[in-house]
Amino acid sequence: MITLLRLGLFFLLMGCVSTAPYSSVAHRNAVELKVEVLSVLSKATGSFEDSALEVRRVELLASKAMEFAKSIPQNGGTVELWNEVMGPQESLWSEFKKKWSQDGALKPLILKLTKRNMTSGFDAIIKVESSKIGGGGA
Amino acid sequence: MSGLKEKVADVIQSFLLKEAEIAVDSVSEALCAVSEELPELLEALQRGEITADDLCYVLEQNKRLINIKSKEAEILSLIQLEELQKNIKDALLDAAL
Repeated sequence: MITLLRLGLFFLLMGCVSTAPYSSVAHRNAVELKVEVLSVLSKATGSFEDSALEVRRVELLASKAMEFAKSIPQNGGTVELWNEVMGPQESLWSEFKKKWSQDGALKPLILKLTKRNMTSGFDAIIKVESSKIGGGGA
Repeated sequence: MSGLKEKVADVIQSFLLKEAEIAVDSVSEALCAVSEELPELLEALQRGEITADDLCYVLEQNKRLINIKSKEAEILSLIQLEELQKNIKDALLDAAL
C-alpha cells in the first residue's frame, strides 16, 4: 500500500513538465513557408517594389501559420520561435524586409548570409515540430 | 529494488547524453558558422563591397539566429524531459507489476 502511495505521489510530481504534442499541420505550415520565404529571398537582388505582392503573400501565410501555432495549448516556446523568425517586429524576416526596402536591393554576400540565417531559423522550427511527442523525431 | 534503480539510472543516463548532444548541436554549430564568416565579411568591408550598415545588419541577424538556436535547444530539452518522465513511469510500472 505504501509503495503504491509513493508511486502515485511520484507520478503526480512527474506531471509537471508538459509540451504540445506533434501537429502535422504545424509541421507542414513550417515546411511550406520555408520554401515560400526562400523563393522571395532569391528575388532580393532586385527591386523591393517589384516583389511587394509576393512579400505580402508570404506575410499572410506567416500570420496564418503563427495563429495556428498560438491556438495549440502549451505551445508557447514554439510561438516564441515563430516570432523570432517571422514576427512583424525585430525578427529575421522583418529586419530583412526593412533592409531590402531601404537599400532597394541586397548585395550578393548579404543575401547569401540572410538565406543561411533564414534557413537555419526555419530548420529550428521544423526540428522542434518533428521532435514533439508523436512526431517520430527530427 | 536494485534492478529498478539500475533501470531508472539507465533512463536518466541516456537522457543526460541526449541533452548534451542537443545543446552542442543547436547552439555551437550556429556559433561556429557565424564566427567562420567574419573574416569574409571584414575583407568585403575593406574592399568596399559591403558597407558598415551591411555589416551591422548581418551581426544583428546573427545575434537573432543564436537566440533562435538557444530557444530551439531549450524546447528540445523540455521534450526530452517529458520523454524521460514517461520512461521512468514505464520503468516504475514494470517494477510494480
